[in-house]
Amino acid sequence: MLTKMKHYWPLIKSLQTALLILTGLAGYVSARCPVYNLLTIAGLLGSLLLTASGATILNMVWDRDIDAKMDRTKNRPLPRGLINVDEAWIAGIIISLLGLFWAATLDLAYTLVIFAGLFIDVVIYTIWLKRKTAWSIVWGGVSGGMPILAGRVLGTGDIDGIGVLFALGILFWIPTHIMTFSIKYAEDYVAAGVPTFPSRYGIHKTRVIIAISSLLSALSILTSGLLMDLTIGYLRLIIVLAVGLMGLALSTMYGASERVNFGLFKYASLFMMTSMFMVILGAR
Amino acid sequence: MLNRIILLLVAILAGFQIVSGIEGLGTIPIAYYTFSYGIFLISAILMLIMGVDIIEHDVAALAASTLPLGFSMGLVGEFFLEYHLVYASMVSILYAGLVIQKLRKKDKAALLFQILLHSFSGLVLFIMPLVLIVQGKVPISFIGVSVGTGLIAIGGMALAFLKSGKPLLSKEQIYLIFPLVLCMAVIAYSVGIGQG
Repeated sequence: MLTKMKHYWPLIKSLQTALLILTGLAGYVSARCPVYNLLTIAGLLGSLLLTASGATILNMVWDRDIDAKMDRTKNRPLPRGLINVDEAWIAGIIISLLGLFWAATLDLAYTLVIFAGLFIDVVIYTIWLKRKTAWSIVWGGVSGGMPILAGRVLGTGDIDGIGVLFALGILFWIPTHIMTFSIKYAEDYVAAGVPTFPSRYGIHKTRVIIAISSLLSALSILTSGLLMDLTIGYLRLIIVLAVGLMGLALSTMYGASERVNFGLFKYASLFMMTSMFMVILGAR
Repeated sequence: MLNRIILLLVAILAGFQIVSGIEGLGTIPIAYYTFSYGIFLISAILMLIMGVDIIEHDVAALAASTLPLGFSMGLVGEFFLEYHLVYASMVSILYAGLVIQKLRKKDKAALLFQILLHSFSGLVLFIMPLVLIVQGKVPISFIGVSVGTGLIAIGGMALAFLKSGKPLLSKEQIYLIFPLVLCMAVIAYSVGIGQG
């Protein structure tokens, strides 16, 4: 059992899932601070953990042939045959459904947003578009924005402008996150036959898009912070980090090394994580 | 590993100062102090992510030049508001000159601007706290600002010698002590400005 859990653990991409849960919590706290209802918080965290993990397992199962062709991913448990494929399908579906049922005990609108995220991620992004077009990343971004929107919906009971702006912040952040990655592992993606922006439009255009999307992501998060009346000190910190993100993104456009490119990838993750913590701590 | 912990400490401390350490001051000093603590914060993060040797990059040198500018403009804005505009205009012109000469790759002219800029802002930042303490306008702990400036000057000189190819210390030694200098400087500024 322990060995099996050890094999399943990489399937849920723990860091990525944790970041998605954090965005969901930030969305909720942005509408409901101070937070008194610990049961709702537990439900939010639990349902997001299960649906995000379930979706990631399903993606991993579907993409196992691609993973087997890429150096970076060929040692994952599914390409190595350490996990039975049918069993992983069933595990992914059951975990996703459990998450949705848990969400349904909290709120219907919240459940619908989470379901939309799951459907867009697994069906539209992974199964339908990922192998066909580099633009599939947009749908990846939309699904990535669903947890924070869901959290906000759970807090307000409705989809509002701040929630949409937060989701846009994530949507525009995804290209910075994924495209810097696809530049670093460009050869891997070509070998696996997965279309990416670097292979379709070239590195320079990809970097221009990264810079623009970083700018838009930073502006969306900042505007959301302003509109939700975030405590000024926390907003100041987000502004500083956003300026750093934009500066780094712009610098990659002018003959940046691979090291700076991957630095941007790490900085973008840190920016998003810190911004979410600032929203949680500075909400009032 | 120790250097990474020190850099993390720099980032946390600078972040804390931006969030709440400078609350209660006027809008102008808050803006400038946020700017300078922001340089500390982003520098520490970038060194953590990409390694300490990024300090040798030209852009890093230009960004580091703005560190004393922000703090000195903040001090002038806090204690001599009537001179703020004149001072800000002067250092901005000098900084613009530095950037333009760097872009034109006129190293000697850039160096001249850099010396003028750092001497001017460094002196203001080093001497003004001492004057304010003597006048009794601020508590003795405000000396932290002068100490921080001295530390930044040491770090700046080490870097300048490194870039000129005539380092007083070896490259490895500079990389080793730089995070510590940065950390002590941010602590000194926090004590000084926080208590002022």
